[in-house]
Amino acid sequence: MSETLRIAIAEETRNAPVTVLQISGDLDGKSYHELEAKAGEAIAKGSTNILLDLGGVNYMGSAGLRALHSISNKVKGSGQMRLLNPSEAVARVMKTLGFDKVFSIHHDYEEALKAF
Amino acid sequence: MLDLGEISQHLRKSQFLEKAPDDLVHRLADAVRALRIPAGERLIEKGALGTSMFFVVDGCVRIHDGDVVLTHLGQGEVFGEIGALTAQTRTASVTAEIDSLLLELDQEVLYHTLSETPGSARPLIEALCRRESRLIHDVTERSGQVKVLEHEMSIAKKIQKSFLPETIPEISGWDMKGYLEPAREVAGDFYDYFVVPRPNCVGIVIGDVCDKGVGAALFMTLFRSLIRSTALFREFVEQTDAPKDVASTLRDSITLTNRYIATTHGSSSMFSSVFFGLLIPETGQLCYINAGHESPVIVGDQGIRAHLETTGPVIGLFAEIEHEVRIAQIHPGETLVAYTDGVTDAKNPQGAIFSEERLLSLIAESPRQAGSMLHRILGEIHAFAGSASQYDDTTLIVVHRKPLKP
Repeated sequence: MSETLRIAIAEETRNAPVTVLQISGDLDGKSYHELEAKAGEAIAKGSTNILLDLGGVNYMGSAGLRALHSISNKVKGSGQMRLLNPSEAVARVMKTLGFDKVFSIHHDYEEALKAF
Repeated sequence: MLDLGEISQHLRKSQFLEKAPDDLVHRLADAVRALRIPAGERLIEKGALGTSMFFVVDGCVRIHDGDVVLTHLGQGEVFGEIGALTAQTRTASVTAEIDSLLLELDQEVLYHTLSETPGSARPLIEALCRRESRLIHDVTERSGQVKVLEHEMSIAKKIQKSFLPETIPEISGWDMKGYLEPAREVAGDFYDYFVVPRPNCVGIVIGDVCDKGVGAALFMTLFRSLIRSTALFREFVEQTDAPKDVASTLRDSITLTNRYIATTHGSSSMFSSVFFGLLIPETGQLCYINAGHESPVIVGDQGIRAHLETTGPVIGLFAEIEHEVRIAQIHPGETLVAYTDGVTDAKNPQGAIFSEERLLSLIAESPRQAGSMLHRILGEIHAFAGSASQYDDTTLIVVHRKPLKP
C-alpha cells in the first residue's frame, strides 16, 4: 500500500531566498504530479531557488525522478534546485540512474540553505 | 428545506417520473428524504447492498469504480434505481463532485406507493426501458470504439516489434540471444544487436525507458533508432575524415542521442537507462557506456567475474553530461548477461520480488551457452511469478563467447 504524499512549504533566506518543500510519503506514478504542481505554483509566484527536503520520502520511482528533472528545468537559468536528506532507498535509486552526478545533494539543512 | 410543491417539481423534472401520474408524484414527494452531501463525500460504495434510489436536485455526483470515472450526473438525473428495484449490490460507487442536494427514495416506499396508485407502474417501466435502451446503445458504441482501439494497438505492437532486431547477427565464435516480453501491449524496454562495419564491431544494446505503455513505447522507438543510426552514420553518410575508433563511435552515439532528446523533448522529462557496448569479435574486447542501467555481468568458470557498473546518468534529460567509456574483456567460454529491472522486480502471487541477488546466483549456476542461459533464467522467472500478472516489461540479452577448440 503506498503512503500518501504530503508537502509542506516554508520560505527561508540565508544568502538568497529559498523555497523549501518538505516532502513525505511515496513519490510514485500517482503522486508525482502533486509535487510538480506545488513546485510549479511556488515558481509561478516568483521562487527561483527550490530546496526539496526528501527526508520523509520512503519510495521514489522513475516518475518521481521525472518530477525532479521537470522542477530543475523550470528554475534553470534563474536559480537552482537542490536536494536534502534522501533516504538510503531513494539515494540508491538516484545512484543507479546516475542522478547523484547531476543534482546537488545535501545532508544538513543550514548547509543546504547557505549553498544557494 | 424544500416544500412539497418544490419536491414534486424536482421529481417531475427527472426522466424517471416525467410521464408519471400527478397522484404518484405527489405521494412520492411526501415519502422522499432530502439529503445534502458535501463535495468529496462517498454516498454509495460499490458492492454494498443498497435499497434506495436518488434524484439529483442540485449539484453533481461522480459515478465511478475506484479511480475510473464512469460518468457524472447532474440536475434532473437519477441513480441507484437498480438497487431500489431489485435490492442487489451496488454496481458502482457514487461520490459528490461538488456540494449536492439529493432526494432519496426507499424501495419499500416505492413499491408500496406503486401498489396504491393504479396505472402508475406503466410510465415508470417505460422510463426504465428508455434508460436501459440508451445504456445499451452507449455500451454498444463504446465497445465499437474499444475494438477500434484494440485494432490500433495491435498495429502499434506489430510496428514496435519491427524496432527489435529481426535477426541477430551471426558472428563466428559467438552466440547471442535476446528476449523481450512487454507487460502491456507495447513496451518501453528495448534491445538491439547490429553489425557496425566501420569500425568493424557489433553493437549490443539494452535499454529501459521510464514509465510504461504507449508513451514509453513511443520514446523507446526514438531512443533505439537514434542509438542505431548515430552508431551507423558512416554507413549512411560518407564522411572519411571522421574518427573511426570504437570508443569515439560509442561516445558520439550516446552523446548525440542524449543531447537530441534532452534538447528536443526535454519538457517531457522522459529518459532511458541504456547499456551500449561495441564488441570486437576477434579479441573479445567490449567497449561500453552504461547510462544508468542495471549492471550487466560477465560470468566465467569461477562464476560472476565482472559487474559493468554505470559510467554516467540515464540519457534524455541532461544535455551537458558526458559518459565515460570503459573496456571489459569477454574471454573464450564466458558470457555477458544484461537485463532490465522487470526481471529482478518480477513478483510472485504473494507480492515478493525475485530480487537481484537471486538472479545473480541463478546466472552463476546456469549453463553458459546463450540459448541455455536464457531458457534457464526465463524458466525460473516464470515459475516464480506463477499466476501473478506481469508488472513491468521483461528483457534479457545473453552474449556467449564460444570456448576455443582444443
